Amino acid sequence: MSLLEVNHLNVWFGRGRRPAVRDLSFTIEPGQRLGLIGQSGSGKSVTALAVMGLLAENAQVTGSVRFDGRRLLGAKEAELAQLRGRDLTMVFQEPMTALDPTMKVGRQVAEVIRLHEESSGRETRRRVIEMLDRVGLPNPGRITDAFPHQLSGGQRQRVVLAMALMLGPRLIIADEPTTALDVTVQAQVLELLDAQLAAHQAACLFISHDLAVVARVCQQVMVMLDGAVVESGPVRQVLSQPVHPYTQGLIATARLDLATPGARLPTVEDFYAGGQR
Amino acid sequence: MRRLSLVLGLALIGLMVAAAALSLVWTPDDPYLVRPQDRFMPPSWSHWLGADRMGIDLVSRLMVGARTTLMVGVIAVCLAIVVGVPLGVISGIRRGWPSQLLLRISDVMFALPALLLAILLVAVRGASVATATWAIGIATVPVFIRMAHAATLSVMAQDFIDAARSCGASRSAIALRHVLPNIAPIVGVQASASFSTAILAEAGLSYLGLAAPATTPTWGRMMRDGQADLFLTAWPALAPGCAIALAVLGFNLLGDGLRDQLDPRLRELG
Amino acid sequence: MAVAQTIVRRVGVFVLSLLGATVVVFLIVQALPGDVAQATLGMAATPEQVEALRERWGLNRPAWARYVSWLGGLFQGDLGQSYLTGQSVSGQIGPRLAVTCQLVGLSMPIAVLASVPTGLVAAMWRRRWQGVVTSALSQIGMAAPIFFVGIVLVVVFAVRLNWLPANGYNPLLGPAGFDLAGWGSHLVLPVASLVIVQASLLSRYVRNGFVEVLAEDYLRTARAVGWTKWRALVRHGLRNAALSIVTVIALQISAMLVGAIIVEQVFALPGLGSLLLQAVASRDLPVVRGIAILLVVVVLAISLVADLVYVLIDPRLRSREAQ
Repeated sequence: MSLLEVNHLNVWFGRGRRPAVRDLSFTIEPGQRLGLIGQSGSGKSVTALAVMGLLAENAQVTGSVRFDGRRLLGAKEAELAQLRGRDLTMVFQEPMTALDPTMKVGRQVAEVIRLHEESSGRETRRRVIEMLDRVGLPNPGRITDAFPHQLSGGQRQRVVLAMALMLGPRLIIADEPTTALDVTVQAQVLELLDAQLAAHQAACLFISHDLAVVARVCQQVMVMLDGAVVESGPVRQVLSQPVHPYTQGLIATARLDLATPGARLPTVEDFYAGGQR
Repeated sequence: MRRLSLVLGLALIGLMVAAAALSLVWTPDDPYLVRPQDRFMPPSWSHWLGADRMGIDLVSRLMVGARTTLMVGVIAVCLAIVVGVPLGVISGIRRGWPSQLLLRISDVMFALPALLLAILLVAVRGASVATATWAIGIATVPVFIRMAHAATLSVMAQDFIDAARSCGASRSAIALRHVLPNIAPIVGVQASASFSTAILAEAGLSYLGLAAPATTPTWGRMMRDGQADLFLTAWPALAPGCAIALAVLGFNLLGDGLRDQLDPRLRELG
Repeated sequence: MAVAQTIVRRVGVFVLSLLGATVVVFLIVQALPGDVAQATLGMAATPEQVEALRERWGLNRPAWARYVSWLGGLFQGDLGQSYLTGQSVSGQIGPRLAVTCQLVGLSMPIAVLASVPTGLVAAMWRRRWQGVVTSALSQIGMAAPIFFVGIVLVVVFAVRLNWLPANGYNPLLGPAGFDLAGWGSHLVLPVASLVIVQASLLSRYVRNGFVEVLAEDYLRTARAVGWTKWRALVRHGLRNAALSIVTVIALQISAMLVGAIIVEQVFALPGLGSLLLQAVASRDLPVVRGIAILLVVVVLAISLVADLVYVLIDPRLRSREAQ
């Protein structure tokens, strides 16, 4: 049985509008990493939020989402809340705002434990510090008593990762987790995510607009355009033999090593006219 | 749905302005004519909302009263804008000690509620609509100073100001061409909100007997007079109360609607 | 350290504002055109009589000298003597203040307690009928002048139903001994008027505070790790919404005091407001000035407390102040 099974998912906001996600189906096996590629507005984040059950109230959703055989779509909030954080969890794009500014970060990580398990105060604190250490935060004993505004963006994203990894979930949805970070920090955080996923044997739905990043983390990839998947398959195959013109455009624009100095750089529109709608 | 508050607000205000304008040329009955036989008459064909303790037609008095309410609101808010906005903009552009002093003074004035300031002025100068208007206007000035100051600061922090500066624009040119047009919508929203505060303050003063003399029909004063006869009839007290509430509601809704138009991001905030 | 510094700075600003307020109140009451002595005696008085009265009230001294002696008295709790009765102003204010304090002291906590759940409901269900109705009710409550609310309550509960007295005040410890029922029944309608108007306004701010928090990423993070929607909002939302609410409550205290002045008039309560209005009617300026400065002190003191609470709740402010 697949870990995550999404069938004929449709999402739209408000009547009469174009759907944000159209007839989307895919599966993720235990331990598998699936990349989801597309430009902003293509429906990547909406897909992720729909799986988590975190879409805004005005969203209408049809289709089915199953996690480990259990129906997620239409499940009660309390039931979903039990799964979230323990079995599946999500890492967001913007580390600057993802943490509660009025609460010490250690406490925010500790809450994940207290929500799902019985744990003494001392034991919880030990596990929090251990986790902060594992995500590569220097001096975790001090960081645990810091407020979010006292940390850098990279450090905050590590805290968010710590919250996500705390209970060893089986599926992590990462929504552009490195986009808001500096390039050097990006590489470190990616490496960390890669290592932790491997250590926990966790599956991952990795959302990005950056082909290189996805190629690094994932085995499988899906390309989304205007709410629908236009191409999917193993990363290597999609990169070497792209079928859809949009994918070809994406790859060509990323291959700067092929660009001639002084010549015009390729754009997606050179390959696919509807790309910049 | 989203335009509802704007439309409803404009409709209420339009109704009020129309009633006030119409009262200049026509009212259902003479708003000053005492008819002893109509004393406390309940609503009927001759008096749509009934008559007060003097037998004067309530609708006619309400229509004339709308004039005072509008006049006090317009003058007080205009005074506050004319004085407050330039001071706020200047203190936002030039941040020396005079600006700091100005802001501190406006903070102190801010702690003095409009009604209390008005009561103080009335104590010294005697009760009149003019005193009430001045007092409400003066008490509203610090609101606009603070608002314009904050808005100016946020405009000044934007890149296009630096761009204008690097092209050699003077401070006054920046103030007139960049800051004022950018803060104008916020001033409009604040003006609408302040208008309803002014209406409430004027009504409160009239109710306390600190604004218009008994002969001038104002909504607050009518409620004061009507309250004495509550055990006989509630109409003379309740009708002007509804008028005040609808007028304030109109300007509140207009302010909300304007803000929604101004900043779609804020639409959720009701 | 940072917190201590902040507190010292805020208290300094408070003291300066207080001094500024005394100047403003003094200027309005004493230095504006209008001869109090002449106005008190009326136009029929001879110039000699007017002069004698000015002498007696010390109006012939220069303004700054009068200000300094008034300020000196203020620091010793001496607000001067009433022109009318010759009694000390503070002695007159005392019993009246007690009534106003009961009124505001009962209303404010009830209004705050009522506004948090209603604001929460209005924010959480803002797209459903529950939220829309709550918001509409608070709009109406905000638009109605407080004396209108009071009069409607009187019409319903005193005139029609005859459940409660229409006006008047009954001390808790009166001549007839301890009288809880009499005291309470006379305060229900005045307190309800203040609560209805204030809670309407506060619940709107609470709602907006929550709506802002609802859009925050950290609320999504909280839900992604297993909080249910409501619990996430209470746990993280309340703390953050509290920041804006504390500020609003502080600002609303002054509106509440003004509201109390009017409510005392509606229900003929012998509080500070009715004393103020009597003093205005008889041009008893020392009393007017004394009450005004008392109200301003209360308003400033409360905004000081709000500032300090704010610094304590918001860790960002704490360290920003330290820089």
